[in-house]
Amino acid sequence: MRASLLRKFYPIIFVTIVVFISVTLLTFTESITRAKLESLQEQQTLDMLKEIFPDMSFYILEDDIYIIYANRTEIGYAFLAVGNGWGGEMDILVGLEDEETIKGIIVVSHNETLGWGSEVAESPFTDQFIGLKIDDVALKGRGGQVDGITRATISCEAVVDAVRITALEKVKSLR
Amino acid sequence: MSRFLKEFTKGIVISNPVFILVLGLCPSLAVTTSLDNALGMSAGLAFVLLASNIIVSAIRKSVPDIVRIPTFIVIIATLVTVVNLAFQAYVPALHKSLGIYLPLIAVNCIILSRVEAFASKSPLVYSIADALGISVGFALALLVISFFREALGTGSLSVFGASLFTLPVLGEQPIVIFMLAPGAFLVIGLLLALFRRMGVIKSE
Repeated sequence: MRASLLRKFYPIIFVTIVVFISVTLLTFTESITRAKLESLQEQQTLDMLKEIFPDMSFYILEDDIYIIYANRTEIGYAFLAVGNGWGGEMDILVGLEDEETIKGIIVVSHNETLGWGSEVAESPFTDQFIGLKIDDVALKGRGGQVDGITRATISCEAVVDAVRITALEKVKSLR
Repeated sequence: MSRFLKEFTKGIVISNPVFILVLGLCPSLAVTTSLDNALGMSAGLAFVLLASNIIVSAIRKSVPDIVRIPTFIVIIATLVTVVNLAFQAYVPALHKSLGIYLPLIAVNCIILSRVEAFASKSPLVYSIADALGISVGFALALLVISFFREALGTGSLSVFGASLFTLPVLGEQPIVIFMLAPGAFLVIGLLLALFRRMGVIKSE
């Protein structure tokens, strides 16, 4: 009785053991790499903030807003804005000089078409944001000061809208 | 020993996974935009294939037939996740440029078919030989394809930052289509035709 019952359940027991071993191995691997991954992430954030704020000495993260310091003085803020581009979500790091002016932006990740919408992630498009007032962050055809890219309207609008809307939101929460 | 060599060399030419078995074409097309990617992908596949073959061959007598495929898939997927985490932590630039094709090794036909058709029925030593041979064959195929795609599509070749050479005319005006999907198909198709003409691939 016991033997035939065991034989019936053996496949299930076998797979369960295999899955158990697999999960153990994965948990172990993940815990080893987690520390390295976190430090890589931090380094990446630091590099990007340094690109926007060359004078930065350190930053503090408070409620999703990076407060940038040069020695003891606050020189600006930064935050992540998420836009809806042609190919999906775009992550944009926005730096603010003060509550009205943008210091610069970096498109961290995007899924736009190579050679077309992808140009919103590069100069000269991103250079336009340097020193721009938040209220002017809109395409020229819509009352703003940003020159769009002819065959990439959706990508441009995604960036522009994300930057403006998130900037206004964050500035409100700063006050 | 000679059987070991035979199984090993089989994977390189006679049963080359890309040009003969024509398996795993999707990642081969997507990942051959540069030599670095080709090497990275080959390394990932080699690790997963070797480890899967070893494990499956070792437990092949104890696996109940009904749960054969689920067991293999769990093993392969676990190994791919380990490779993915490792790449993400230790070679992040390569990981980013391989994108989703690294995790997609889990459903790469090459792995499942070698595990199912060979490792589950063969002794450990020959399973290792087969895995090594197929991995080398895959790597060579990918390297050849990406050699042409990168050279024609960007006008220069570089391996992990070290620039190898820049072509005179193409350096200024590269043929960008080779970096995109149609170019990949063109290169693979032409290489297949070339190998067939040379007699490396026999007609059936």
